[in-house]
Amino acid sequence: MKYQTLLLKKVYRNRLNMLPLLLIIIFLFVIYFGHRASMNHDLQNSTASREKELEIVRKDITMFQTQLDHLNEIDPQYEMTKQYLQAATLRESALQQRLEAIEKKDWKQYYESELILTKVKIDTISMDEEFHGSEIMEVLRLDQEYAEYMIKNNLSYDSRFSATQGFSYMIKVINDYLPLLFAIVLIFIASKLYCANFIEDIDMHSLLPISLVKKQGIRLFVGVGIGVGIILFICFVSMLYGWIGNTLGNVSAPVLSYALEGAQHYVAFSTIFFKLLILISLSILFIVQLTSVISAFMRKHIVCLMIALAIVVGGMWVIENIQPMYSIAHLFPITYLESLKVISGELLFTTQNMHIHFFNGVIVLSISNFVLFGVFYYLMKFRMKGIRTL
Amino acid sequence: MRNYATFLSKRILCNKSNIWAMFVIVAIVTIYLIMNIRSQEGFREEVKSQIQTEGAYSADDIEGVEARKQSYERLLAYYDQKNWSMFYMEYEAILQNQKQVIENTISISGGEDPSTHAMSSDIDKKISYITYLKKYNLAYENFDFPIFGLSFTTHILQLILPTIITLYCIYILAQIFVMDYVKEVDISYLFPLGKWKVFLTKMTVGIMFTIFINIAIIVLTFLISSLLSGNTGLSYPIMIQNVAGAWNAIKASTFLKEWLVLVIFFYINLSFFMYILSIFIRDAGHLIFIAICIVLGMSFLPMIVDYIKVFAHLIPTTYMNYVSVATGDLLHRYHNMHITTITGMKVLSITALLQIVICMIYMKCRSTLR
Repeated sequence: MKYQTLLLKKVYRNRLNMLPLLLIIIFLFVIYFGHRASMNHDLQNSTASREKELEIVRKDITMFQTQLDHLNEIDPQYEMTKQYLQAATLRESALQQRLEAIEKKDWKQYYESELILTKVKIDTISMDEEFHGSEIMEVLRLDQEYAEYMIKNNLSYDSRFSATQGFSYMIKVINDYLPLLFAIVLIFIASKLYCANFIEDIDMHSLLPISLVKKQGIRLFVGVGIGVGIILFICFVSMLYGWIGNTLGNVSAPVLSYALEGAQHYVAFSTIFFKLLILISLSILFIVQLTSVISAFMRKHIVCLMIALAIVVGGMWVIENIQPMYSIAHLFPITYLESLKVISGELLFTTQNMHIHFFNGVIVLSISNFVLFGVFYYLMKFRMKGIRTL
Repeated sequence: MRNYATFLSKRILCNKSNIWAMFVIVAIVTIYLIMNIRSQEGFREEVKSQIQTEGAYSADDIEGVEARKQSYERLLAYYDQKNWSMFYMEYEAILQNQKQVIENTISISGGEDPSTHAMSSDIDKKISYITYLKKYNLAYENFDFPIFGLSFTTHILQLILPTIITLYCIYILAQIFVMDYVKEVDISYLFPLGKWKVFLTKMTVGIMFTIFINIAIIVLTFLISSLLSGNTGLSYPIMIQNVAGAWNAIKASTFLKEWLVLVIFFYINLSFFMYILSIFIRDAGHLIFIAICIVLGMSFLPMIVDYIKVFAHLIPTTYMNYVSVATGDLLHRYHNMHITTITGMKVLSITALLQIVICMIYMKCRSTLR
């Protein structure tokens, strides 16, 4: 039996290792159920309220028309009432169009009417921007960008905040939950795998007739393979839910990009896919190597698991929540485990640290991986020397 | 039975990692307290920045600006002298002044701006807090970063401590319940004890350990903060918002009895839950991992999934944040009026009973399984 087969068998032969995957399936379902319920609410339950909105706008139009009839053209209020009437008429036709679009499931028309409605809102608010605040304007600007993006890419209905399509839900999962989920499951399986070769504190694998570098290489290869498997599994399950619940979508599903000032614009998932692939691969390698190094010191599975979890998950929490860490966050490899947030610039914005970006991620993760590889290699070498001396 | 209980206890106490974990928890609490102590200086910075802001105002109201600047300087001087009665009088006057300005703004703007309402609510909170401290003649502490004995203990129990204690309890309970499984074979059959006695001993030891761990960590937190800050904080308040949104300062010790009862109920539940899990998962590593995922996952899920908040009061893990439940903080965060101590006790009692029934059924079937 080959060494890699031995390691892999240890993982998949233990049925208990499938339990974390089952928990992931349940977790992703619970999250998706919430997104789907929110979409249903938006499209079906709110139809009644949209009809009411339409009625109100129609009443407003009649009111403005009556006011105009009674006003003199030289009256300063005349122009303003005329503007209000125009806006209300535009709103009325867009609301009507939107209702028809929902009925016909014509999503292009739906987003076109959304675009008009948002524009009307922006025009109204911009008359008194100081009072309403810039935050509302920013939200509306992004709503507008989103609608434009959906029209341009001919995408069917999706919510900006609660993604329901296969690809968009997968992006949401990659952005919000994947770093934590895959780090926890990978650490669990990797720690189990790397600690299993110790029996009564003796490394049984040192008896195998394989060179140290080759053995280490195979261990890493297997670990990375498991990591890739976990990520593919999470992505597949989330896409499947989206596909069943709404539609599969495509690779041009939108991702919101950020700069230091805040959210900027939507870009297609396909444009950042390769960067994401590189960063995720390096992240997997980092977690696997870190667990490997910890297992060299802590030979008990539970202790190794707890320490690795405390370092990785605790580190992720500290970097995101403890403000004094923001300025130095770019120096830690753990920062870059949030791959999509790094690439989209969300982490750069939340931490206000302009050094957190893809290239720094590649450099920091690569250096960390080299260092961890070296540390583990020399640890093993010293241990072998010790065994030979005995 | 007693010998078996002693044996179980000794195995837990002799495991070095269990003792080290306790030290780690104490270290985390101490670091958190030190961070809070350092944050006390934030008040001085806040007042200084207020003085600077006043200086940047236009020359329309020179007298008013000067009076406000002097008031802030006096406040700072009383703070440094620790002259608390004068400090509270000055601070209350400043806050009342600020409240008046905000009320004027609200009446001019027609009360539509949510940020002004938030500011008004924040000032109400401060006034209520300062009035309480003045009434009971207590030393000042920043209510966002408490440092005194009971107020710090209550504060940290509303944040990270319940999660850490639960993690530790899961770690200990997993060891107790899978200790007798060697390569998935239950060696407890070899003990000169009946299966019911083994079960009862394990459950008793598990429950006693978890409750002891909780009380020990809470007492240690109280002692550390009291010793480092030199104040037991027994009379200090916690800030509670009622349904109408008004702030009230209520003595922290008022809720002590309520959340202590919830602690006992919750950890009895956890012990039974871990036992039931250990029936299916007989490996300590897997058991700990799955239990952490389920218990912590269920407890944090309502925070990220909105629709779960509606029935969060029916989920036993909601009551892991026992202090937040007792003070009504969780009720506000989840917008769920049913999250109260009484509901918690009912839900936890029912789930505990259900779990006892499951355990009894398993014990009955065990001889057949054998």
